[in-house]
Amino acid sequence: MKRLLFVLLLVGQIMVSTQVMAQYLDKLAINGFGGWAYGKTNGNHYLVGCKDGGYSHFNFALNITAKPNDKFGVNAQFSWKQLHSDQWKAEVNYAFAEWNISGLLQFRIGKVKQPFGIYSEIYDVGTLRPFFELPQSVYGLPGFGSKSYNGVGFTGSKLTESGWGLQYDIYAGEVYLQDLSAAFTTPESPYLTDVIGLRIISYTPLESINLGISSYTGELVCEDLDGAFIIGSAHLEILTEKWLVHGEYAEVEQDKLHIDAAYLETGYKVTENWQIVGRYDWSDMSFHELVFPISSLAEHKEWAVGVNYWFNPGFVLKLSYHKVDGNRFAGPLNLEEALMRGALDEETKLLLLGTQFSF
Amino acid sequence: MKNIISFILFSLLVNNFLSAQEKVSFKVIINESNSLSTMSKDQISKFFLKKATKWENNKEVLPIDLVADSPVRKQFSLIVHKKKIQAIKAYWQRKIFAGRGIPPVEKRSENEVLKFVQENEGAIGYVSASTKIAKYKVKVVEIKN
Repeated sequence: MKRLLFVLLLVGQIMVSTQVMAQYLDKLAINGFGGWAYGKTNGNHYLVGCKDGGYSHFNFALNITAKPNDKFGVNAQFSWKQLHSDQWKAEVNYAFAEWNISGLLQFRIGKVKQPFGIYSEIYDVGTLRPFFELPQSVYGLPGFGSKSYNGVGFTGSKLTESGWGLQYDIYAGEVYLQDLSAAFTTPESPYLTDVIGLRIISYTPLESINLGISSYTGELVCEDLDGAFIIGSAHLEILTEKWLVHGEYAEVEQDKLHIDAAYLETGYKVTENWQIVGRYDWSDMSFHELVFPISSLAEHKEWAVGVNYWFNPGFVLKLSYHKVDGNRFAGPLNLEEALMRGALDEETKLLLLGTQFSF
Repeated sequence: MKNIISFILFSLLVNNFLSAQEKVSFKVIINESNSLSTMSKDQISKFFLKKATKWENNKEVLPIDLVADSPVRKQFSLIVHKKKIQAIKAYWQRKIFAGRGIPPVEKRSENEVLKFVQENEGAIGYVSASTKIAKYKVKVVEIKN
């Protein structure tokens, strides 16, 4: 508890001050974000929580954008994340160069942000979402979309005078799926090769509403699950000064397995500072030639409610309660032992208190 | 009848008071070499949100903001963007971390804004309505609804 108060006071002192700003020069921008959370569950591990109360969840990232001229730009992001145990994960989230041919056509190459759904490009930025963690059905590990792909891509957008607009992304390369069990991505981590992907977002004259579809296909390289892989999703986003509504449906089809996932989350700003939030999250996984002996291992159903206090758009305190049915993402640390003892708890309750900031 | 007249007079008084509160207290400035003399709020907003990036002559638009705690910036945001600064900050957060753009440079003083607009042909900025601009090579743009 003392550690919690210390961290909150330290971060609050820094972030509430209007003197702390992201650094913007004419050609260089340095931004960053981070967060810390405490989570307590009724038994299983889920998100940042565990039975005894988990304090060790901290993440920090630095984002650098350089634009030497209006044609050429470079983007990079480096992050550090403390996991449940004493493990730390340091990562280059992405590092890519961009050439602006026109507003309709930009070329990107390197380790590029993967454009998928609502959140893949802003995966770890906690001040851009209503809950501390992303909806697990679509973004839980290993995730329908990764933070980045290694390859080349094209992107562009067009906004008409009437307010209709379109943003597209097309890309090809290789995608490493996220694996929490490894401190670093290793050659043995599952990955997708020969990937081709696409995302289209449509903006409407109602400035606050946009719709999108995303899809990518490739060859999965993973022990026991090798084979062609196709993922698709559709999303709706409504963002006003008071309301936030996000809805996504995603599906994975692979030679050996099929996954359906969907979530709906909403947030309402009661005042400029106080926000109430809610989420329903669902996922179901099935193998074509195998029946899960314990169905809960393939299922995830979650209700969550919460309240946030926004000191400003770059600093927020979040308190949430989650009720989960299913063990796809929530379970004991030693699953095998729990199964042998017949002691797998299919219901998980989590209370989470956290703070997130960005600059 | 007396009540109706009283109500109308009261409404007019309230309306005048509100109109006075809404009176524009800033002026939008561009480089004096720019041929434009009027711009719509929507056009100005698009330039500052980088939804439009070129002038009619195809030169790059260079918007320049004041810092977030400037009362002039607050007024500009409410009238031109029709949003509070917090909403604009959230918009830029999304753009920055998605790798889709960076916000306009922010200057702490109006003199810095005037100097920037004077030195850059494609620049557009705003200062308090009472700020004297005669010694700078900038001109005021009329804002039309």
